[in-house]
Amino acid sequence: METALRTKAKITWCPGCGNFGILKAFEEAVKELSQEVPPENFVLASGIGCHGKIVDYLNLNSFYSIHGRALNNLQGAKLMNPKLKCVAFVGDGDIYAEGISHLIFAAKRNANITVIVHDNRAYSLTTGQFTPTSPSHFKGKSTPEGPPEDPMNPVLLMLSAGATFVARGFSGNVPHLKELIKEAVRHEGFAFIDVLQPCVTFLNLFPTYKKACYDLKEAGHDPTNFEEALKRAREWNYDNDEECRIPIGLFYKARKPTYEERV
Amino acid sequence: MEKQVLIGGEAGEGIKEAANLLAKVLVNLGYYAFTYHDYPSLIRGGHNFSTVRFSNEEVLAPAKTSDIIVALNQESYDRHREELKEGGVAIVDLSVEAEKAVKVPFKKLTKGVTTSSAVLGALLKAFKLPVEEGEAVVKELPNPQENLRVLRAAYQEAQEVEELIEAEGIKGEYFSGSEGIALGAVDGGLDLYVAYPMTPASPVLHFLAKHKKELGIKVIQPENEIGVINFALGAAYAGAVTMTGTSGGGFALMTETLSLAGMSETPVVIYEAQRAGPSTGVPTYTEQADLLFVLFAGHGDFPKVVVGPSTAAECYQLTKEALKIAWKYQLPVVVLSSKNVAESFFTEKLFREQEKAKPLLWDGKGEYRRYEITENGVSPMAFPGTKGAVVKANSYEHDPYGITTEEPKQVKEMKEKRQRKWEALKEELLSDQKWVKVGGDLNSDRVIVTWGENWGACKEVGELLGYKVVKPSLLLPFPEQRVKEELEGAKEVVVVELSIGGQFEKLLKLHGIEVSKRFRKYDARPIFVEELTQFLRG
Repeated sequence: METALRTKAKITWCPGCGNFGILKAFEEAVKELSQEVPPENFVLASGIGCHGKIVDYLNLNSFYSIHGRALNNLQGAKLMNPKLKCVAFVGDGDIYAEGISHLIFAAKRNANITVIVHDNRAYSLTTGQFTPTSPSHFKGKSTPEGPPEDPMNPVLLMLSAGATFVARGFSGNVPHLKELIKEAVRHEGFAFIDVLQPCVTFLNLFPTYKKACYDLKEAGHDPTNFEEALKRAREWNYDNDEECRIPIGLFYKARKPTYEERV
Repeated sequence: MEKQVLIGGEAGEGIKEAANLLAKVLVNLGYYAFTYHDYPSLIRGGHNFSTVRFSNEEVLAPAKTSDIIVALNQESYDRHREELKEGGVAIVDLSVEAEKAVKVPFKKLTKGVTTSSAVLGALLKAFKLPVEEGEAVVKELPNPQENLRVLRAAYQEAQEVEELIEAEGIKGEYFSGSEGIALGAVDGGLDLYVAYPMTPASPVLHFLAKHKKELGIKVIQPENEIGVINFALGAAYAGAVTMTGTSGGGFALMTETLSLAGMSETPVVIYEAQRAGPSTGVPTYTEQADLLFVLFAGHGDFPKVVVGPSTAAECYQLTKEALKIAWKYQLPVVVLSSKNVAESFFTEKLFREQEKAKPLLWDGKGEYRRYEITENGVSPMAFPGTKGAVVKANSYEHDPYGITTEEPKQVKEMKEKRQRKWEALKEELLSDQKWVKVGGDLNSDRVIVTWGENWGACKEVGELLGYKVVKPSLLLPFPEQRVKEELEGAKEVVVVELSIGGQFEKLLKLHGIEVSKRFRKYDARPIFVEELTQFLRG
């Protein structure tokens, strides 16, 4: 499908890949934001992994970076041209492993960028090894018995690091994700969305997410309450994929001076 | 007349400041002064010393022996007494046991504040210079009243030693290699300086951070060197002239992104101030052993440029030039210096001129392609926020739009496009004579080949012993023809460098240049003129 927002690049994700949901949600968000953000002011950045291909598909300014480093490229661009709307697409291996320091610091300094993590909880472009969010039941190629370490909880991590917009989305719920992206892009400060995005080839958790996800807003969560946000973040530890409840939506939001305002 | 004063004491006592104050007075009077600061990696205690060498002739290097040694503590006296020239004088604090020394109650006079003004007072008296000459520079210090009082009191207490031969007029400005780098960057149009602290590159960060408001630039310190250089690339992608600075270890962390700069064709200047390695090494001292690492840094084929300044004025010129080259050809340029250039102070003429680094810009016609195939490989730039242009930079091999490709034809075309930039820049840079500096005895058939911080010592010794000195300021692409021309007919070729492995000699060999003699210093100290003189005399 070629639209004004799409390039001629052929999409090479596996059929049914969770990345399609993120692409669709983002495209719709951009369209709905077109009154506020002219397309030439969007700058996208991506890391390396299946997720990164998204910037090849979108006909918007982009910096297709290297593994783990996209956030810093994006922060550099935003710092020097504040009118840009900066959105990073990064992977879970990409930013929770290789680039974890950059993620924590971008949150700490409240850089005015949006970070969308394509969290499929596996290295898929390198054919299936465990990442920082892989569950212990994931038997990857480098850890045939399962990872010898517990997964990290990036939502909890980002709350502790000082992110001023912390959310979780699910690629199987495009309208919900689109609204989250719009709100994140509008947010003045560091906006983080961990998007659960099943890898149909190496770790297909689509049925689990479908069953377990519930919307924080519908549950009456108050995103201005940091303590409540911490409680909700702890509700799921990225490991117990059976019999779990997974909150999606906005955990926490606050307005603080941004890095660009303070430098 | 050529004199050297050594000032030694504990870290935190104001040793560096004392040396710089003295040198400023001497430069104001019209002498050349060169100041070398020697300090260990600690903040309080230990042993620091600085030497101020001055003359009516140009001085660009430190000497081992001194005419006056100021020792604020016993250790300084004990360590340096052997370095006093015949007839030299030691000026020591009352607490120091020393024979035949001039005693000044430095510590009593200053009551725990920095002793720099007291040291200056004693030295002005020693050289029979009026105390007023010191007042002008001391007034610039924080707490000027107290410092003026200390200056005058020390002047009273100290003794006259000798009269200097009169200075012959103002020689230039007194500034460090780091200040040269910073001012060169600013005059080259710097918008953003990004760096993580690392000796001996940090003085540039400190200078620019201190003056950022009046200079109209941004200065930031992100989480680590990987973060730093990626910030720099993003800023340049958005159109900002950006530079970063580090030393060997930090540069090692940056090399992954150096390739990204090469592939994405993002202009960036990296200032690499070498210190003695490997690893943490001898962090506050000097060496030239990152040379081959820097020249060959980065995975994959991509063009990059490396320049090597020798003095503060060269730091200024080459940094400005580096920014210009980086933006003209859209690639990474490394300014490779070392501690004894970075942190030493020189007296040189500084001709400041603003000249903002500028890229070839997109003309706004038709569809924008970031990596347009062109004759000289340089594709017009546009920056995000430009209506009608979609600016796609890419770390993957890409088509002219910046979209990922693995097609052999496109891969080949894009590699050839980048290679044509290399050919074009080689043609431009290598046709310029300025990249090889020649000094010493120009007609001699005995030649010293060197680079970077050794230039000053080699030039001085060359003049003394009748050697021609050849120094390339451009290291990549290497001005092979020019260097060979200068070496033609030479009966003796001596390579002088600070590397036990002979990295510069290897570079020369790579370009078909054979040497007959080698001076390699690797005790992490700069070359002192006496030792090179002795070596060449045999």
